[in-house]
Amino acid sequence: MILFNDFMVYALICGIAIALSMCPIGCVVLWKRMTFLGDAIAHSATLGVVLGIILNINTTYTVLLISIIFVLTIIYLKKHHTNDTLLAIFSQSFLAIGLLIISIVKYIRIDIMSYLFGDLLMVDLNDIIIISILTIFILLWLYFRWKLLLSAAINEDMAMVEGINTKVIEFEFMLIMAVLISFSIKIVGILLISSMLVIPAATARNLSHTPKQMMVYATIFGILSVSSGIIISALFDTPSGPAIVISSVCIFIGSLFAKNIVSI
Amino acid sequence: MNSLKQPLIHCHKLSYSQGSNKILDNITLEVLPRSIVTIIGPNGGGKTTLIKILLGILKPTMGEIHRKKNIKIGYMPQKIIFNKQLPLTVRNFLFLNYNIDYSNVDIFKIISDTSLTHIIDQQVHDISGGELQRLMLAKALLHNPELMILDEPLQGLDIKGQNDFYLLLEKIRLEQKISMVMVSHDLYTVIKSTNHVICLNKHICCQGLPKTIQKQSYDNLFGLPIDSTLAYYKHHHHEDIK
Repeated sequence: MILFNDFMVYALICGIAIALSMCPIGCVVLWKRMTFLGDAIAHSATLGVVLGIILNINTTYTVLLISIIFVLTIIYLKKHHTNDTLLAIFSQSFLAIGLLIISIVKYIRIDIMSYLFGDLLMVDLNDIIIISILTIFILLWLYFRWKLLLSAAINEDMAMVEGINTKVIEFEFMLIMAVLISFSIKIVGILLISSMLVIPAATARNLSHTPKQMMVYATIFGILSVSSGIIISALFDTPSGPAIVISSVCIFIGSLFAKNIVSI
Repeated sequence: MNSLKQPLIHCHKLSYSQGSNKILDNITLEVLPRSIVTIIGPNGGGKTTLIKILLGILKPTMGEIHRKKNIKIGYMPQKIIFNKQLPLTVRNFLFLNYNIDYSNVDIFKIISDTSLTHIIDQQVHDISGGELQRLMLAKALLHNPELMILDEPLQGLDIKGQNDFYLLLEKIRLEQKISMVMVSHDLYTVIKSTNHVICLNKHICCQGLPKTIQKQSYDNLFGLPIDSTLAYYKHHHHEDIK
């Protein structure tokens, strides 16, 4: 059966590993009201993709480099401007530089579609190993930083009075976002990455009463939508990103109904 | 006896500015043990900034601040707005504190003192204004504080709510011998047992006992060039509340 060839298995494992780290992080993104951050990092990552192709390096590493530079720029300049304005300015300028390079350097031909919307066929064993290690690292980080992270998300001033260094937490969180997004672009795609962060978390919000519950539900919904999305994309030969997003949106709509039934 | 006289917080000629905008100028004040200091002043007068400096959230641009060594401060911020995207029960919120040894704190006494028992499993988004203020008070008390810093604790409460909250504060203060620094934009609802009132409009306009302050009218205090369009209406039928 075509469904269970190597590519499929790789993509499924990779997708589930991404969901395991991305969905809990997505909850934190909602809690910290940073919905825009995921999109901004992913857009700036376009420059990383272009650089990787020109220099003939694995694009994951160039994307990682560019995302980290992007996040550091934002953290550095945050004192002077509001967050959203900065994100918009820099993600668009990184994107624009990337697009300009593509049109200037004539000899490169990029199948930009596969980066924009995600492509299963780009996943290899190497990616799986890296993403699994990253996932374990992120889950450990969440476990050890849980109280600090949550306190800082609820009220920064109160957290500071309790002796929590909220700046360090924010710094770590933004770096983790940069790393996570760099490694997930291949499978989810630049344009759809923030939906992977936000939709499962928002779905879980509809049904949960405590922060931990929300993280667990988000992860379950994320794994469900990634695996069903990947199977759909293999069956109908579509890009994986949109298929994943559509399945997660379906689950979200389902959660709205479930919430209403519970509240009745 | 000496430790009783030693101030918990002492500020000397403290200033704070943001860019070219001077928010606080030449503030000198002391918070003594077992005292209540009430800071009043108009909006934008720098009350919250001063509180944040006392707490150590902000650093003064000039001047000095000394806190008693290892002082435990409980902080009740100005009306907190919970993010609706974060599901949180009252219980989650109370048990979240980071550096608290819960074996040292009688959390159940705090919960019953602040009458939170019946809402302990409710979402923090669903509780009323009065319940929210009591929740924030309970959260601050978890630190077993010597000093409580409260930023407009009465905001959004009606007269009865304000009165109830004051009674609760007073009870807890006397029981646990806590000092308090409290901010209010309302001159007329300074807590009865206040030892010291500070009128703040970027600088300290005047300070002293509540009685001496009350003799001057509000606009005289801060040098505000406003005609009094609002008058203080005394509800005679509520006098028994006092």
